[in-house]
Amino acid sequence: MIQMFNVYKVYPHNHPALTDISLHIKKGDFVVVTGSSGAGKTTLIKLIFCAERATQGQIIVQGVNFSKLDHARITTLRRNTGVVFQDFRLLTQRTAYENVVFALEALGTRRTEIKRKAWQALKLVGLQKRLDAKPLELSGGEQQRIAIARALVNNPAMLLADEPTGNLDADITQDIMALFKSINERGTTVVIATHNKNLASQYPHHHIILERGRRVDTGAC
Amino acid sequence: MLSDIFYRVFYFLREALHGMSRNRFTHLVAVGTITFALLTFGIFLLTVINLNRIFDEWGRRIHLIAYLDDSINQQELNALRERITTLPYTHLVTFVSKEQALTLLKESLQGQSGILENLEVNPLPASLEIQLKDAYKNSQSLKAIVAKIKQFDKVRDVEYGQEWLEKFSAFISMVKLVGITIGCFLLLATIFIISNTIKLTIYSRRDEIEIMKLVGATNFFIQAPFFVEGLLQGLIGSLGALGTLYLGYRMFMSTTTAHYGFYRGPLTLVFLPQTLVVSLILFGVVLGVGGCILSMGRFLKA
Repeated sequence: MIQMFNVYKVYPHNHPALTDISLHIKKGDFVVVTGSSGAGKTTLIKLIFCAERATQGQIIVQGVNFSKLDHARITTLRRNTGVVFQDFRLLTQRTAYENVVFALEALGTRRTEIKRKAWQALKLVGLQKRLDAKPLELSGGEQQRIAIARALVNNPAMLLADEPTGNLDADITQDIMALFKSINERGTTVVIATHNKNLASQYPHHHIILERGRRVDTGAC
Repeated sequence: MLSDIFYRVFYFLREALHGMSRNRFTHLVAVGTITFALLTFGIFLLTVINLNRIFDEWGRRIHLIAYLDDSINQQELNALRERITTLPYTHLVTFVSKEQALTLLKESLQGQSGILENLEVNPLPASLEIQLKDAYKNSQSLKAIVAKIKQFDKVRDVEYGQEWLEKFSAFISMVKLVGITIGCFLLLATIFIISNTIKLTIYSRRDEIEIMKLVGATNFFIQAPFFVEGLLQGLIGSLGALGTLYLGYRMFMSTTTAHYGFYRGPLTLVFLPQTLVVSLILFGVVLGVGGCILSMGRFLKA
C-alpha cells in the first residue's frame, strides 16, 4: 500500500525533516508513527498524501510512483485517501451533515448517492443523531468524529491521521482510537501519527518510531 | 445524467451566491466598478454614435458646387452637364450662370449690395449645383465624388463645405481618442479590482478550498464557483450600467424635447443599438470572468 525507499525531505534553509526513511506498509495494516515534536511525523504523513514532495528517494503509494506524479494522479490518489488532523479542519458555518456532504459534492458525487453515503459515514462514527449540529456546538471528540466521517465518506483505501487525539482527553482518545481500529477491521489501511508514547505502546506490532527525522525502531514494517 | 449536470450547475451557482453573500461589501465594490466603467464606456459610445449621426445628417443636406472655368462655351457646358447628370450618384444638376450668381450674391448682401455696384467685371464664376442621391450623401462618398468631378475639364473647383465637415470630423476623432484612452484606464482598473475581489473571496474560503484539495476535488470543481462569481459580477455590473445609461438617456430626451422641440425629426438622439447593448453585457461578463482568471491563475500556482 505505502512504500518508501531511502526518502529524504529537506525544507528550505537546509532544514532536514526526514533522513533516509524506508518503510513498507501493507494493505489492511494498522500503523502508529510516534516520536517527539519535530521528529518528522507530520512530514511523513504529508509525503504520503502529496502535500509535500520528497527531496530524494522513491515513494510508491497505492501502486503510484510519486516521481511520475502529475495533477490528475494526485487528485485520484487523494480520492482514495482519507486524512484527519489534530485541529479537525471543519467548516464551522456548516452542520455536521453539511461538512460530510461538502466532501461528496466537491467530488461531483451523484445527487442520489450523496444522502445515503453521508448518512452511512456519520452512522459509522456514531453521530447519526447530531446531523444538524454545527461543529462549535459539539465536543472535541464529536468534532473529530465528523472529520473522520468526512475522511471515510468516499470509502478510501487508506486513512491517515496526524495527531488525531492531540486535542482530546484520555477517555475520548480511547474512543477515537477504538473507532480507528474498527475502521481498520473493515479493511481500511490506517496510519496514525502521535507523540503520545503510551497510546503508541497499545499497538506495538506495527510501530514506526522517529527521532530527529530518522527511523529508530526495529523496522517491523 | 441530465439531473446530475443540473445539480452540478446548481451547486456552482449556490456556492457562488454563498461566497457573494459572505463578502457582500467586496462584491458590491466590484459590481460598482464594473457599472462605473461600463457606464462611462456607454456614455462615450452613445456620444460618438449620435455625433456620427449628426455628421451624416449634415452631410446629407449638403450639395456640391462645381465652379466652372470662365472660358467654357455652351457646347462644353452641355457636355459637362450631361456627363455629371449621367454619373450614378447624381440626383439633379442645376446650372447657375455668372449673372445669376451675382444676383444671388446681391440678394444675400441685401442693404449692402452697393459695394458691388462699381464692379467692372463680374468676378463670380458660373457653377453647376449637384444634388446627390441619398446613398452617396456621406463623408466618405463625398470626398471621392469631389475628387472625381475636380478632374473634369473646365471645372475650376468643387466645394461642399469641406472645411467645416472636416473640423467636425476631427472633433469626433478627438472624442473617440479621449474615450478610448479613458476606456483603457478604466478597463485595467476594473480587472485589477475584480481580480482583488476574487482574491479576497478565495482568502475567505481558503478552508473550504483546502478541504476540497484534500478530498481530491479537481481544479475545475474548485474554480468553477469563482468563475460563476466573476460572471455574475460582470452580468449585474453591465445590466446596472445599461439601466442607468437608459434612464439617463430617457431623462435627457424628455428635457431636450420639452425645451428644444426642434431637435425632433432627423436629429433626434438615439440609444445604443441592440448589438451594442448585447456586446456591452458580454463585455461586462468577460471583464468579470477575466478578473477571476487572473487571480485563479495566481492561486493555482500558489
